[in-house]
Amino acid sequence: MAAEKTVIIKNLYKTYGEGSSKVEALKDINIEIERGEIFGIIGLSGAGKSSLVRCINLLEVPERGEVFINGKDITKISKKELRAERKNIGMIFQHFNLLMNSTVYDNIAFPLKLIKTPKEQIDKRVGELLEIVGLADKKDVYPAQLSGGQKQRVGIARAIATQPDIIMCDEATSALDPETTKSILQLIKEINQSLKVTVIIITHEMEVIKQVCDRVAVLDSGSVVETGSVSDVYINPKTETAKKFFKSVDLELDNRVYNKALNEGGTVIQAIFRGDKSTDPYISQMIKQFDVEAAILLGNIQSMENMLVGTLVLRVDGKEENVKAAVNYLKDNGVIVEVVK
Amino acid sequence: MREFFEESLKSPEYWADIHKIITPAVGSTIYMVFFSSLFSIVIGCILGIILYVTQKDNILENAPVNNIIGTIVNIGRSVPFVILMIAVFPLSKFIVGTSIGSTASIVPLTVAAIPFVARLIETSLNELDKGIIEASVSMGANEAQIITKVMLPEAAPSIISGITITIINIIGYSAMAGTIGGGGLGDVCIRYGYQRSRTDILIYSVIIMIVMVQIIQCIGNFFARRLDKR
Repeated sequence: MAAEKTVIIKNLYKTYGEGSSKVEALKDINIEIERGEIFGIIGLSGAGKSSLVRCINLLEVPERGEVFINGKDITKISKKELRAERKNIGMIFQHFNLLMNSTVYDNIAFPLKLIKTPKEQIDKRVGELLEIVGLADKKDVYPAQLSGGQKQRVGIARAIATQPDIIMCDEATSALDPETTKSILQLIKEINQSLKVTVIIITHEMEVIKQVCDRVAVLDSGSVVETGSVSDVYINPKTETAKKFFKSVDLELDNRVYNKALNEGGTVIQAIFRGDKSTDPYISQMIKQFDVEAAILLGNIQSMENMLVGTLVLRVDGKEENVKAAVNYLKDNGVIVEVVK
Repeated sequence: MREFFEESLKSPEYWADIHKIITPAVGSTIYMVFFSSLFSIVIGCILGIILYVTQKDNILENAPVNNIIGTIVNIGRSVPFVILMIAVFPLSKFIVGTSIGSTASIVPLTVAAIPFVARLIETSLNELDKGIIEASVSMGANEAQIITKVMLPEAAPSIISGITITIINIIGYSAMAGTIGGGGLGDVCIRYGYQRSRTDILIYSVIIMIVMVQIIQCIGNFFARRLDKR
């Protein structure tokens, strides 16, 4: 079985309750996650994200379907084997879920003690982990004395203590402020790269996906409606749900400017430049060649999967055929153009 | 009354007399309370943990076991202690060979306290954040590890408070056991304080009981606070 894929989810269904109160939380989920990638799962609350991630380590038992971890179907193994398999899947939680009556050291040592690691080895490993997450000076402190970001760092250290192949982040940054979110995501990315660990991130925040994920699955009412590389889904979302997540960020950036432009004359286009194109002078070329005028209404440049993606909303004025030709010029050069009005 | 106190307080014979009556009673109260607390806490803890982990959606969900133990505990808690004391006479006789005296009193005290402890422990565990249990399951901990390394240490401060309440309750109950020949301070209160109108002995006994309760409460608070790192 394709062992190159770390996680394969096949035809997974999950329901809650029975009879008339039965709710289908997950419907026919199919996802393949490559070794070493950061895979995001985005959806609104109630879309089934948490259920889905819990089906991957069987904290919740799916109604039917298969979950392969490194080629092994974990829905068909014994309880004992499952416990061993879970040690290969670290998990980070929204509310950290630390032992409040244990020190930082004991929290991180916990998974190591479970597998009866000798004391000296635990000491050594916890020391390394504290260095990785930057909490070397907090070893003997209790979680109540730490900030949210520091607690999550302890959570991360604990999750990678047993050197798992996979770490799953269940809304790991949703309880943190934007600055802390960034630093935690940065840490997750560093760990992903230095330890070659596969990361699965569950979130409802677009920013999280854009900052660290390689690929993304969009979840809506228990179904995966779209899967692809982050920039593909961002630039060219195919479903309404994906559009809601990925478009709103830019077009609602400043509604005032945008709405004003829509009420005025001219053609409003949204142009997305990807990779190298984000720095090429297409707009000035367009203006020169086709005798049109362009006013920039909105614009931003973001990095995604280590690639730059620029978005511009322009009002293009000029003769109708010229405007059309100008738009086609951009399209021909690989710029993704959508005529808004 | 006042004259009586003033008069007797001066005499050394008076104190020797008091000492002879009260000191052994204090000893047997401590003896009864210690052993019945010990047994009821051990058995009650086990039952409380079973009640908790067999709840719906918990790590060893088991409705029949939960219902059976829950019902037994409820029955145990509904029987008034005075009735229970007499009802377990045969059991005391079977276990310790007699149904009177301090040792025999340990049996009804233990039986009465077990269901109380079981519910207190269950309540303490109910306060646990479910997230930490989920986290330990996700790390591959087995049920025994979750109970001993996660549930009990995390609930420890609350469990200590519950145990403190239990011991104080047992001190109260032990006085009641004294009334039917159980020995201890309760026995002294009835025999001297009530039947012979020795108000002074009654008052001294009550003062000693108050001091005992205070000490237990202070020790309990100390440990509960020390274990709580939240």
